[in-house]
Amino acid sequence: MSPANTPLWICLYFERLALEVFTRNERQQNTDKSPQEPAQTQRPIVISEKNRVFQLNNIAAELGILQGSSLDTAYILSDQIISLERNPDKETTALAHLAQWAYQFTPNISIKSPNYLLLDITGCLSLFKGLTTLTSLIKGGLAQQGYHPLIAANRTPLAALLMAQAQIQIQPNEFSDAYSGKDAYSPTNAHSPTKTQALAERVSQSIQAIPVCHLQATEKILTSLQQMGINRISDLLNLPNSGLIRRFGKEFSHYLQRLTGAQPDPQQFISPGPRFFHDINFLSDVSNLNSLVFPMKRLLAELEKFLTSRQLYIDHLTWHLCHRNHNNSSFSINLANPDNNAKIFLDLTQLKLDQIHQSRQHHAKPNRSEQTTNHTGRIKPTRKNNLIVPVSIKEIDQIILAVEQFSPARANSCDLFQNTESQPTSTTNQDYQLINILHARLGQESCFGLSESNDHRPEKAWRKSPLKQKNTVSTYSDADPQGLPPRPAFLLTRPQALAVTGDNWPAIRANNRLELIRGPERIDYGWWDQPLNKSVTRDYYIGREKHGGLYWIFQYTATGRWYLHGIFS
Amino acid sequence: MNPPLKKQPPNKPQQSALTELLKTTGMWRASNIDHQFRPGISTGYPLLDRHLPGAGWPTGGLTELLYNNPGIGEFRLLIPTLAQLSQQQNRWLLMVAPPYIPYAPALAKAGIDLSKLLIINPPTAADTLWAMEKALASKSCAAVLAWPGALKEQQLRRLQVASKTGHCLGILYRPGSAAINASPAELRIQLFASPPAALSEHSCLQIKILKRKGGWTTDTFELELHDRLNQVTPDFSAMISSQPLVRRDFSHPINNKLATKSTIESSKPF
Repeated sequence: MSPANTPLWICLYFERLALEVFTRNERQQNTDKSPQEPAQTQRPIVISEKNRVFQLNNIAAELGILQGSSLDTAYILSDQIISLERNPDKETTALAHLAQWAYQFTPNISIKSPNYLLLDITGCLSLFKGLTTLTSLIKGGLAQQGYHPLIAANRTPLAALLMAQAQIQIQPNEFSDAYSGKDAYSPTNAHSPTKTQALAERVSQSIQAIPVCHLQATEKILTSLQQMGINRISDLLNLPNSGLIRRFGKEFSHYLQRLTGAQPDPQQFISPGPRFFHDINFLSDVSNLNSLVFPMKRLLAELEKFLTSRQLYIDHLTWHLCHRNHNNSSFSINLANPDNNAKIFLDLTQLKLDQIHQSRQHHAKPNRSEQTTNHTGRIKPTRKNNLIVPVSIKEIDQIILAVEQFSPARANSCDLFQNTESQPTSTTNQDYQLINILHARLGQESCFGLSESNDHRPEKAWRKSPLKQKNTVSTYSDADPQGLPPRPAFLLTRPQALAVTGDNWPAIRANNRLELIRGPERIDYGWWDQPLNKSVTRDYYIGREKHGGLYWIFQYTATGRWYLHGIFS
Repeated sequence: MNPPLKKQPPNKPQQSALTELLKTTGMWRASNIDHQFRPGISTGYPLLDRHLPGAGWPTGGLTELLYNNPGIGEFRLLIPTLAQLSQQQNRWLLMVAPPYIPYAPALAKAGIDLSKLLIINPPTAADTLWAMEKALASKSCAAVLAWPGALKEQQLRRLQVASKTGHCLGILYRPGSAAINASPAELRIQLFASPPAALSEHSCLQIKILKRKGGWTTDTFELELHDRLNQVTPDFSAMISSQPLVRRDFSHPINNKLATKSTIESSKPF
């Protein structure tokens, strides 16, 4: 067994999670700008719970605000305070996300609510070249996301947790033996009792100075321990086990044994989540489109990391915009082909935002001069239909990026001889990029493919089809096309009634009667789709206009009326 | 330039001397359209190919098709090329703002692979231009067919530049009245309706090339399309007129199965 097999756990203690879930974006923006610039972070922020200060930032603390004091007191001390209600749900989701994020380091992660993460780093120390590198990586990554946890390490999960609670940060050279292989305490056999003993000894040594008040035990046990004069853990561990069981119950003794590693302590590890749900809060409302782009970029970068680490692609993502004074709005971005590239996502998002912006301007103008012209009023509804959800960029205080469906990543293979002059082919990515940008700007309804459908009636013999993979092998229709008379290349959405000339001939333009050059072809219009007793049959002809085109016209056999249905362009 | 010919020799030797001269001096004449150095996609009509530089539709630049009445064959003219492109290349065939619904069964029957067909109906004219420019320059379209409506020369120029980069067939359908205005397009062809040739199952189209690289404007010439839209039936009119007509219901002129063009003509007085 290699010495690295001695278990090593680190605990990430998000001491200010309640605060950081709200402020993480602001911090980031500030560090990205110039540090001297006075901005939102310089304002005191207070997280309240039941009208009491629950957590506060440094500026608020400098003002003399204390944890647990009432909000009124805080407001008396400063009128600049931004007060936010604590949101435990948000903290839970944030912690779950952080656990998912930490999945890039180790698969063994366990969440300890309310604000701890336990990482089993036994197996990954040599990969990350030691504990120091690993912790600095974790710290750096979390700081980028706006979180500043306290990191503690120990041989058992509970001991690591205890040290975090006692705010004993990991020391630079601590546990360096775990990586360098000089672990004197590591015996050859991992499961031997000697090893467990040695481990327990070692753990007890490292935590002996910690006050007992940090133990995870009931208030009753802690008070009676204090009454007994036991202040440090070393005192507690020196007591005989049987006595402890008698006094405090089996559970407490078991806890102590797990703490030292004398008993195994199995953890419930997270499984890599298939859901991505990240948000950014704005302390002051954003009503400007350009200031949305930067936070969106950050969320997309997080998404890309998330996808890369799990080898996933997505073809759909949703932006939710939360507004302070009115209902939330959202818009989605659909990709024609699954991808994991943040740049593509950002481009499409920007296109969509531009479109929203433009349509908003369109809306704004006719609104002001609503009754002036009929023409502008007519344009309005069509533009509105183009957008699925009316999105407004107004008083946004939170943006959320949500992805729920994932597909496994595919390896793209390219044609060796692609893009030669004689046979230009394009890579699939390029193809779908075109569709993506068309979709993003024009909307999905105005961008479609065609397919045949199995019906003899001309209107129902085709349908719009969503854009999917192109067939590399060209397909031909199953229906026997040779048997049918020719069909026009273009069909009118609705048959257009034709005037008749004096001698009962159909004509599209006045005095230019259509010459019937082919027909008739009788098509029954489906009594099953018609109201009762209304059998409709049509006789189709090809008509030619003198000095004009070829048209597909039909006559209702019952009424004898002529209609134009298609154009042989 | 060439030395003037002093004598007036008999016709034949003079011609051969002239061709000889042209060969030796290496003089380039506009009528010798250089087919090899211009990229083109065959139109599927040898007669038309002969008239076009690159022996086909140009792929680096726009082609304008000018016509007045829809239905004269402006789309049928392109069907052989589109079918070929859809079967040979794995790129999109894009139709931007078609005036009517492209009818899937007809296109499939013509050999166009529907899975490569993409149709977009932009809500505004600005969107149409934007989509065309993006598509032409994207390199992922084998052909872009567009019905853009009124275009300014500036806009045309931008589209022309975009199509040069995309290496694709760019077809603009424009009204015949646009023929007067100059255009930066690579190829401009005006289309006129034409009655079909007698006893031909195909219909015809009159073509006039207004602008082509390395060549002059052509006269109008007739091109037979391969569409089989005419019903070629023997002329029964004599037979019918000799017999008494049973049906006289001419609100519905072709109830008679034997009706042909000529019978309809003859039935006009009723």
